Amino acid sequence: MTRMNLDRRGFLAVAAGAALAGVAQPARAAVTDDTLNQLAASAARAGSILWYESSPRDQIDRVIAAFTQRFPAVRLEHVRDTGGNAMAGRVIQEVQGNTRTCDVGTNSASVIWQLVGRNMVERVDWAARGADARLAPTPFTLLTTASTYVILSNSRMVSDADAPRTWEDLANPRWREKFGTWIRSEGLTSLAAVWGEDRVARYIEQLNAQRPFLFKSTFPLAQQLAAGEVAVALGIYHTAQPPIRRGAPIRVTVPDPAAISSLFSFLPTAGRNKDGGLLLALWLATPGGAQAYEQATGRGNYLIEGTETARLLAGRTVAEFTPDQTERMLPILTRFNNMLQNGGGREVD
Amino acid sequence: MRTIEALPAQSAAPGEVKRPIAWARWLPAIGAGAVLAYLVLVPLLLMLVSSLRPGGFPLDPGWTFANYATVYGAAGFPRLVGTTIAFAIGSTALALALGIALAWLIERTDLPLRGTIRALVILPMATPPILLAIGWAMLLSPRTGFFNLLIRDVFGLAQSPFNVFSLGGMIFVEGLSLVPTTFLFLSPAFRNMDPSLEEAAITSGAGIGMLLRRILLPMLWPSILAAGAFLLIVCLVVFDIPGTLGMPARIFVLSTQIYYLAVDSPTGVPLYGQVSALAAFFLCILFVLGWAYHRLTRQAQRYRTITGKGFRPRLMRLGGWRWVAFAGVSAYFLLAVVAPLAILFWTSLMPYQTRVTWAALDLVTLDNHIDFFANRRVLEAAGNSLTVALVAATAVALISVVLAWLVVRAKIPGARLLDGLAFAPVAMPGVMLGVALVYVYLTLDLGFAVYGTIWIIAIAYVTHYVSFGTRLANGVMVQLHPELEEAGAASGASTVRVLRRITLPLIWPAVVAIWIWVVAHALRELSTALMLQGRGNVVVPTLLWDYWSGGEPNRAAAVGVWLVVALVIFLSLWQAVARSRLERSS
Amino acid sequence: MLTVSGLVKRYDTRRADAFAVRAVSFDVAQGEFFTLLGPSGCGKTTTLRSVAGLETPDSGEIAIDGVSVFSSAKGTVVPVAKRDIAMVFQSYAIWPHMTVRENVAFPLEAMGVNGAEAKRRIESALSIVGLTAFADRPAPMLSGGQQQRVALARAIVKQAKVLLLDEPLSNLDAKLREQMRVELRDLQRRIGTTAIYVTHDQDEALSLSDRIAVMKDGAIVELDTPQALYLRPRTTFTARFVGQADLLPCTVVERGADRLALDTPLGPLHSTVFPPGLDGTLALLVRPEHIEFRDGEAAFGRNMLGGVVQRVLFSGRLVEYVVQVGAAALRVQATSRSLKAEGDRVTLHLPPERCVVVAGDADS
Repeated sequence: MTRMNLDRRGFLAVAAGAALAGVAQPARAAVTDDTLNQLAASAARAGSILWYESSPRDQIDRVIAAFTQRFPAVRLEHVRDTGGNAMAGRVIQEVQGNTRTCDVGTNSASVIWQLVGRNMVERVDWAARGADARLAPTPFTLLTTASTYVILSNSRMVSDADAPRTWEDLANPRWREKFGTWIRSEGLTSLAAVWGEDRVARYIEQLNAQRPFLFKSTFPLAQQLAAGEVAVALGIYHTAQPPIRRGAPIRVTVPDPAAISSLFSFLPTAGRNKDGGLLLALWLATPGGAQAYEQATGRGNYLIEGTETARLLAGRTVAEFTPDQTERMLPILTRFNNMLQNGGGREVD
Repeated sequence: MRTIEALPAQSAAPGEVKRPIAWARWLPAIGAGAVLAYLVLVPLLLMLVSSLRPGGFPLDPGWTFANYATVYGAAGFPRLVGTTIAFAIGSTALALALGIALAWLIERTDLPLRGTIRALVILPMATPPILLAIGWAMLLSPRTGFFNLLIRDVFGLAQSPFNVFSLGGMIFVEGLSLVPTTFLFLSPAFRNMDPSLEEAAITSGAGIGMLLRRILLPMLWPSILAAGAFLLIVCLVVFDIPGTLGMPARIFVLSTQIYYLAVDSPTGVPLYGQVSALAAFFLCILFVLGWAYHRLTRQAQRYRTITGKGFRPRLMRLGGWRWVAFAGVSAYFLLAVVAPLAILFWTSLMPYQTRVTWAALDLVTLDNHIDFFANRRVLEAAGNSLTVALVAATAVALISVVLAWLVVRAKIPGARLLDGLAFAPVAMPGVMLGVALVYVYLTLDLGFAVYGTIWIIAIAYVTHYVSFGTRLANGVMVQLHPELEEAGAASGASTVRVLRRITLPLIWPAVVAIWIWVVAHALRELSTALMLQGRGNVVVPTLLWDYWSGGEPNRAAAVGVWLVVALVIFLSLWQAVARSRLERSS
Repeated sequence: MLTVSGLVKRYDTRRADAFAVRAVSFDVAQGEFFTLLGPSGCGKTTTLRSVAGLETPDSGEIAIDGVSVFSSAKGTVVPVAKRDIAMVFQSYAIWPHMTVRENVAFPLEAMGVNGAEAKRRIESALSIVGLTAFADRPAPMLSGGQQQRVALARAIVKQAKVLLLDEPLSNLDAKLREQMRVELRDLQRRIGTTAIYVTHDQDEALSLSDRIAVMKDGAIVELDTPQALYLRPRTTFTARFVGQADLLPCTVVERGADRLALDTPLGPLHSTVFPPGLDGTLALLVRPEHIEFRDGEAAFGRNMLGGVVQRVLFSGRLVEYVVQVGAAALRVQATSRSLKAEGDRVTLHLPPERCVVVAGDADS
């Protein structure tokens, strides 16, 4: 299904050094202010920076404010990507239509890998710019943020003593018909990076026995948990924050291993303001940028010191496939998606 | 005294029938065809190309049938089609049954408060379906649904009587959500009908049931068929309600599959090739329906109900049934209009999603509404939305009337092709229309930017909604006796004057219905607007989407409330204008 | 005033025999009331609509007052609005969204006539049809006869050279129809316009027209004055379609200069009205109202027949009898001045000048 005609050797060398999974620890190498200031100077000359990213506009307004405070001469413009695969479609169309596309985009590895396959992503020597190797598992991707899969329960319906805290707890038959989750299996697929595919497949069958409510997004999942339609859920940390901020009775637990879905920044080859794209990607991977982004969107970079996400995942094993393993990961994701959608019955291709 | 349209003289062989103006008859078709080809055919062709590309993007290299093989060869495909068709037919039947009953009661009888009901019955139309689905989930979900809890309390039931997360629930909600559209479709047709047709039936001793079955439905067949065909396709393509209510119960339909392929496919890139291949299935159904429509309404003269023999606009007296009918309409009104709008309003006052209880009243807050008006983009978005809605509605009304006139009345050569073309966009998934338009405006240099502006959104709406407009205009045009227009021409009036002074005023109720429908839909439409958004074309639905996708359904509901308010303002303005016109003319 | 020649209109260009009108030609003089008469589907309405310009013929020529409005040879088609015609439609086609006055004013508005001139013409048209009092009524709020008058007023206000009327009275009840017929004739005389009238009703045609073209299967069968068509039809079709007719098969026994001796099922009869050529099958037409009772006379002599009254149909002013004459039955119409009873023996006289020999089969 996927056609990847990129130079494999190019990133295998990097990938060999990247851990499949590891205990969360902040990155050591850091981008220097000098690097950023130099890039900012040339970025300002090249006009505005166009950024495709999927957070709501008023959240990103706050990121832009922080960026502008740090780099007053550079103008950053954000176009909201509507999520899912829309960004890849948009970039491909704009490149084919020979019009301006973004200078930097932020998305999941599988999306970026499609663009890499079409030779549309710039290869960057991140280490030379001072970025830690763990932030940049491949030459095409720099880690910006991650969604963290969490166990949620309605604190009015479920007592502290009964609240599920581990992956196993969710499979307890007492939650039969009271459990909800996302219709997509990204989190469970990430879990397979630690547990292995077969163990997760058996686990999904246990979950299916709970007759779960499936939601097309984890936002309504959290809202329905708040409303009491489901009592416990496997959700995503930042998508549960809006009702929690408003006082909804939602309890959050991060299980161990902690499954995450990372979002990386990438630079399209067709970008007009190359230095500007690089500047934003690197800034987002500094403590200042990462914290601004996390405060605005609720999801953060667990490898950057001082972020909420780093605290959330501290001491836990982080489970996720690295971007270069996308090809290996896709069949697992498809299999797990089908298992969830078909209720553990016959698999449909 | 007269101008003669000179055409090149043709010599004809003896005995051969000469058709001196043959090619002139093609001119209107060519003109209308050019507009439609630009609006519809180009996106349609791009979609076809996309379905044959290995990469799924129309400009990708290579050709393949693999997309068709993948989509139609999938093991679950027949079951998917079965569920989809059950959903579509069920929803259409429900919408038609309720829509016909409402249109007849409101337009043809002395039902109390008809005017108020007519204005209010279409209000849910301004609610984005995604909010409507959530609203209904809050009313009818098995654990927290308001109606379920109410009925359980009142009757002391242990189990909830309704489960909205089921095929029945999906059909119920989709059917109800389409009643305003059905009503707008049919009310002009009912309003235009000569009451003597009804009176003749009643004096022949027919009861109301027989009147409906034997007289009204057969007379209004073209409008009902047109509405049915349109609704059926809408139900095939619609995503929000099956997505919100079907997915939790693992009930999948083709539109869920399209969403999955376009937005959520694990590969990371939208599988436009497969989406297009699936859309071809919708198009096939559409063309079968279009063909059936033409076959079933061939004897157009049977359906002429505006004859030019004057009729007194009389209403049927329901007698004792008047209050029974009023009770029925009120029940519908409470269930289908008041309940979902009330839950929308409730949601907009809550900090997070909460079931409806007295205790929850403590949580009431105006923050969501305040946030919406404090949003620095709200003015820009409202201005853009208004511009797009007004421009699209006016363009759709204009194009629909002209096309319906060309197809039904002028019977220009190629009329059926034109009609099919105008109908087709409804079967195009919004995302593919977006993909096509992006290409058109990336490659076409008009000298000014269209990509990324509000105009590309307006063009998308016009393309999409012309299918509704032409269905409605066709149905009403068939009712119009051609002699009314011929009398205009025989009076010495040019075609344009006849259209302006005679045809247009006579089909005015339909024009208004088209206009209002497009305004409401353009105000609320999400998927195309999102697909086509750029730096400078934020519209109100994209603000709503910002809240929604940021996990703030309550703020989204606040936007939804204001969209309904906007429609109310539109409708009241309209009523005021109509009333002053009426007063001037009497 | 109006010349139509060689008019052909096919309703299906793919079929060779699908003619709505085939080679229709006629001339109408200034001020003439000209009627196209025929059963439905005979092409009369298509012909009228072609004159109006509402249909485009496949070939032929149409000229109004010497100006060609359609010519397949020259490739000219003048659009409806530019032709000097006015038309009254079968359905009246009163615009329901306008008042009576607005309906009548519309043609003037379309022609750009306004101000005092328009006002004068509208008032005049309304007063001619007697609707002055109803001028500001919404058009739908009128009775059938009043609507008919609105349609007429709207047509005459234009003061076109040719007034086209497509079965204008067919939607009225019988009494109103007769009244309107008289009004229509008077009106046409008064304003002196040329009128082309289409109808399937022979009474209307006979009482209104200066000349009538009888049409059948897309062609004109006969074209003559009402009297000539009624009294001296030349075909069985016209004989039957115009007026009541009993047709009897007949053969010529002897041919004189102005008189024929015939053999008929009633016995030998004489006729003084016959076509010049006497080839092929012939039929004898005797109109019921032309047969005379000769009470008390013996049934001898030329064109005298004896018979028995079989049936009596009394309708007030007229009485219709069926009289058995030998093996044949004959319809006879008489006034109610003297009445016969069933079973009475009677003597009939068939005046030779009213025994019309026509070409064609009596039974077809």
